[in-house]
Amino acid sequence: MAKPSRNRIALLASTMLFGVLAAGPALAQSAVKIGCALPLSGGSATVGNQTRAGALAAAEQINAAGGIKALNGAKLEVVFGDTQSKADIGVTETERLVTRENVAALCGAFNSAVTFPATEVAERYKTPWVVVGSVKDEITERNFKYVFRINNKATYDAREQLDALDLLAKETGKKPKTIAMLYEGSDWGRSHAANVKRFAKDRGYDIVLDEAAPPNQVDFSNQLLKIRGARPDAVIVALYTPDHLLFSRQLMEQRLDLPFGIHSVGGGTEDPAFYKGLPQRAVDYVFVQEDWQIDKLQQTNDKTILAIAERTKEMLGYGMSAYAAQGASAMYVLADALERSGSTDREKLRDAIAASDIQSGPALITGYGRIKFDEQGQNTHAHGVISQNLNGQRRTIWPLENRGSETKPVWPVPAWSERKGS
Amino acid sequence: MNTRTITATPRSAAGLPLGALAAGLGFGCVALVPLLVDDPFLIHSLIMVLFFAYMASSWNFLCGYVGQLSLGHAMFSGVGGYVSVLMFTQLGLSPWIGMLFGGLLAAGLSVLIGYPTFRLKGPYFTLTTIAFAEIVRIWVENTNDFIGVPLKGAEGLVVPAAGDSLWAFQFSSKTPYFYIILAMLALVMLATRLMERSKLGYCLKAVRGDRDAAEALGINPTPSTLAALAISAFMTALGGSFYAQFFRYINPERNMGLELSIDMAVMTIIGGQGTVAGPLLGALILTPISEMARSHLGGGLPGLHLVVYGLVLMACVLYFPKGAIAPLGRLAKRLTDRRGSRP
Repeated sequence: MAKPSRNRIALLASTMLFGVLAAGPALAQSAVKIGCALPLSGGSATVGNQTRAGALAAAEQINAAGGIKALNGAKLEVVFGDTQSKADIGVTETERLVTRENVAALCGAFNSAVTFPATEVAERYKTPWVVVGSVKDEITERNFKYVFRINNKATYDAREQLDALDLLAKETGKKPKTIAMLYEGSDWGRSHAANVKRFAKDRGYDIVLDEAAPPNQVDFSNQLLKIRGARPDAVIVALYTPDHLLFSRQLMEQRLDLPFGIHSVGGGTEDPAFYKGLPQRAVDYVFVQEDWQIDKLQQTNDKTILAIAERTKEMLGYGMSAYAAQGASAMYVLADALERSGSTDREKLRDAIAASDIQSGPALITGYGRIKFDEQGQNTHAHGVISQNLNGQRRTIWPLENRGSETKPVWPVPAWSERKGS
Repeated sequence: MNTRTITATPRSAAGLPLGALAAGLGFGCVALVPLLVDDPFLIHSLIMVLFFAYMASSWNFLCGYVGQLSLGHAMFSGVGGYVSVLMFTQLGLSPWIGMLFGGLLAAGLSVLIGYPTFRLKGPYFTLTTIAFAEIVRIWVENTNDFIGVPLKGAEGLVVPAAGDSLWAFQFSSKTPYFYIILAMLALVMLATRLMERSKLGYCLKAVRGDRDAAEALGINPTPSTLAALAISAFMTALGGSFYAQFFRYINPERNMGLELSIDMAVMTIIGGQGTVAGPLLGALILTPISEMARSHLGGGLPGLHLVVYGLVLMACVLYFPKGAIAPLGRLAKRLTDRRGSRP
């Protein structure tokens, strides 16, 4: 009597155990955790929060559309870590996301100074990391296997600005000859200026002024005087929001004529707040290179992209930006890889990301034609988009494939005396 | 005047000072942690606590005892990091040797800065330290190449991977880093303890109490404060080298910036400046609080964790103006007094 009952208990116990074991993976598949290390407080907080909003909005869309189908409709769950723009905190947060939150993959971290050491942690733990926003060249030049970058390298940014000059020159037969450079004197501005200088030489442009400005200036008269003295055909500018605001305002007040205009490499001119702080006259005809296509929402009829833009606006209070778009793009790249790997196993996911070849859909919200990584993990099809401010609208002028059919760049730009209302 | 702390040190049955016994026990227990748990995140967090305890202790060596507030110590950490990294990448010298050179350079720099500025008191001294540190930081940020040495400006320096190597101060596991920083912290606390009981310590405390009175007693404040500054700068620089080797990346913004200086000062002040264990206590309180607040609040409501951190700081300053070590010290004293009062 005792024997069979003990057997029955054992049977029951083993069934329960088996049930728990079987339920374990099934439960785990109900959500796929993605870690996202971003500067959510401190100096780069606005950028970090824009990226966060984009990533959240994209994850909501993916989940609403049925989650990851290859994983029985598993939902994406984005876990954020605040790097505070500091390398050591970024590394600590990465450690936490990998070992405590057990994320399947990581993304982030905007500041190159954080991404650089933090991706090393990801590589050590063999956890795939999709780089968002960081442009330091070396990030995808270390023979790492788990680090992928959707967006531009720093050298691409500089090359594109000159590509746009070349394109406009080819279209009109009017080519600027001399360029002045004004940039903020830290990591980003300096490396950009060095890259521009390198490319300008090969393309036959003369750099007539090379001016680094310390951050948070209260007056740009001195720099404007130098630009006036150097008489350049065009100015390449790399400044953050506060400095760019002041520079643009003073340039308008001084009515400084630049025949081939101002070419800003994002920074301040990427920030939606920049356009709120200036009269339209100050930004007329300005060229802006940035990491997403500013008139994408007018040109696309992709409902998902429009929904993401709507949701991002709800969260932030202002429209889409390059950073929000990049956050959204990273989620779609990961979702695409998860569909193909059919597993949250980091190794399989890594192989799936490496094999990505995306040629349509919301992953291309940033304006790229394609996402495909080289053996170093760099998306070689990444490019920025250059727009010109025409009649109060920022319209894509480069690359040609992204330019709307009704967009006509103004080249050269009219002198201040020829502009309306002056 | 409190003569007890100078004349009578409470002793254990074995005749060892109680403080030394407690410290030995504490460090022994911490040293066992990597053997008992295999959790890289826990070890990483402990390394961060020990690192900040080390930096705060180095700061305390001077500022806690002289009673002057330096907010420029991050510069020494930056100098240490840059020298050891550059000597490794340019000359192939082991960071173990490079960090000593970094320490010596920082000590030399500190004397150059300290000699004119120690005549300044209160806020003037503090302002000068900020100014010097910021000048060095801005100079490094804007210098790509200095007499052939690639400083790389604001971009920062990368320590090339050299595999698992004691010589190159690089390990794939976190455990060696844990023991290194633990040993460094033990050394700086021991040095502080020895200094406290030396002529240098008494001179510094006299200067802190009343500079004019100390001078009237025949103490020349300059040599003793300069000596303490040089030692403090040397140790801070070693910490900077450790950071560089642990993260394998340094840049002027983080490793020479004002924020690091403030962290060092705040941890010491919260823990209790002018005491051996105060900086360690400060780091033990503040690092986990900022970490927990960040991991629990950082992702949801951005910035809230900093508010919580700020509130803790305010509470500490309000309720423990002499540092969190003060009530602990009173407790310890009461315990030892009760024992000592029995004949």
